[in-house]
Amino acid sequence: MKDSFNPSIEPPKKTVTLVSSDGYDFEVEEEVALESQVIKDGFEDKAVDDREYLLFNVHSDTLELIIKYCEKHVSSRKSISAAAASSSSSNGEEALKEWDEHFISVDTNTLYDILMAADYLNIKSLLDLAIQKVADTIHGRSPEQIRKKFNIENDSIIDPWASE
Amino acid sequence: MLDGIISFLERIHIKEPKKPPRKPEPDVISSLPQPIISHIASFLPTEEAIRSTILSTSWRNVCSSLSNLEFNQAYFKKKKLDSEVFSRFVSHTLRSHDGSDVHKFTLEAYFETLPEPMLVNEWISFAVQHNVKEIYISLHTMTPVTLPCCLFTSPTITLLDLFDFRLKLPSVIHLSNLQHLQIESLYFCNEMSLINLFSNLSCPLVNSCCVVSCPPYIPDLIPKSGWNLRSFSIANTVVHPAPGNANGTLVNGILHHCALPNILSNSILSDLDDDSDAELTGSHDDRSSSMEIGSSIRPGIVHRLDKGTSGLLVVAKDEYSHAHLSEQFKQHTIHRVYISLTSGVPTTLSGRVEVPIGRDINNRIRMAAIPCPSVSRQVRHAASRYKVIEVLAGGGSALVEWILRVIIHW
Repeated sequence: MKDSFNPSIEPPKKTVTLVSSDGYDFEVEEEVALESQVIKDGFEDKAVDDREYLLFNVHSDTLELIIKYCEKHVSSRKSISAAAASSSSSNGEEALKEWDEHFISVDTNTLYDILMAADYLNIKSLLDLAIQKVADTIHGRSPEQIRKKFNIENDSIIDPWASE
Repeated sequence: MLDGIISFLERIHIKEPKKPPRKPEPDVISSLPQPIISHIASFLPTEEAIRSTILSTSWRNVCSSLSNLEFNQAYFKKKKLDSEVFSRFVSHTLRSHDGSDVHKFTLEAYFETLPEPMLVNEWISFAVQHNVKEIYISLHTMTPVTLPCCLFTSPTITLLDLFDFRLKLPSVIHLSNLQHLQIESLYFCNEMSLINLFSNLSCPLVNSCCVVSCPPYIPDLIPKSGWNLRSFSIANTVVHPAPGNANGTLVNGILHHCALPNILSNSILSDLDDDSDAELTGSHDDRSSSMEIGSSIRPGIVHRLDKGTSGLLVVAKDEYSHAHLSEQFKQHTIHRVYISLTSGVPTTLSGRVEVPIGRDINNRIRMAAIPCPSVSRQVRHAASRYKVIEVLAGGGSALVEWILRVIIHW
């Protein structure tokens, strides 16, 4: 074999097509799509030219955000492990945390969409991030304040604190 | 590398302009599927999670599958809620649990204030029946407490943490999966049963054990063999026997663990300065008439640590390594750095302090800096270099690093 491995030339990136519920195609790198456990499961069984996923439950607006999140996490993981390999100090994890925080600072409707999509696609870190965001909103607030924040209508009459 | 950074926006097909935003839906959070709402609840402190059940009917069952149950009566006290509310709260939460496994169970209560103290046993039994793995129990009482037998025969518990009460141990103990045992401020009614707890037959997998402020005989009970201890920490404990502390010291525990004969208590005498360190043990009396004492009094202990300070203690398991390590301490080939918190900040951020050290005139078991020693007093010349690492509390305090040097000139 004449062709020896040359690290400077990267092989062409394999891509996967994700189709949103409203019919938009998103072409993403394989490793980015594999952040979703649902896509990862059974990925190898699918033919290479048939790597297209119809995401009936994810709107294009949400899918755009999800892809942004996954791409950021894939690239950050690479730079963090590269920094660790060269034993140079890096604040990559800190920076990623900050990025996450900024990423999830969205309105309640968007948060709902992200929650549903992360659950559907089974992206654990994103689901935890979004759930933590909701939990943080609830934390330290009185029930009345929480109801107001999320527009929850109080239709319950049972108070677990009352004696039985 | 660039490929990874190029935003996907540049590669995808050009999207049409954004559609007008969808009509905002009211209360989207409550319309989340039940598992997600339960997941949200699991990210909250138990009290807040339970409180969220009154938000609306769709939130009513969010806590039925919590895997981390934490009940802290102090939280209720802070909110001026009495122990009856606490008790009802715990019982209600456990009653509405859906039967899924409990991973971690924490109970921090004031046993005597509870209207029905026996409920504690019901709560603990509940956790054990739901395959609890980590269990923390703190009862703040000196009344003897008998905990349910099932707690001591659970095959699922990996971590057992008991804090601040007087325990009546059952005669049968079998914790086949226990790995971490932590006891703090714990007293026992029946010392004989303690042998069962600290036994490799009852608890074969223990690999980490932590004993804090417990009766002095505990260290003696650590099994000689069988326990593959990776970590054994002992806090608020005297290192070696000294007048007033004949037993229950770290040395007794080490000798026991290494299956060596214990030292005779009548050979316990105060120690002379056996190395040239500035560590001055303040925990024992100074008796100038003491006999020559070698390593027998402090077997294996290579250097000292002041009572009330924390740090790494080097212990040698045989004579050869003991001599070798001691020599290194003597020759100062071991690099030791101390970190202290000072009241106020030193005027210069680094420097050298050179003041003789001797016994404090007012309190003979303490050492003090004596700037102008009288001829009759025994002092040691000491010099230390320091460096301020961080100024804290707006200049009220500082974290200071020290390297100690002591020059002997008796």
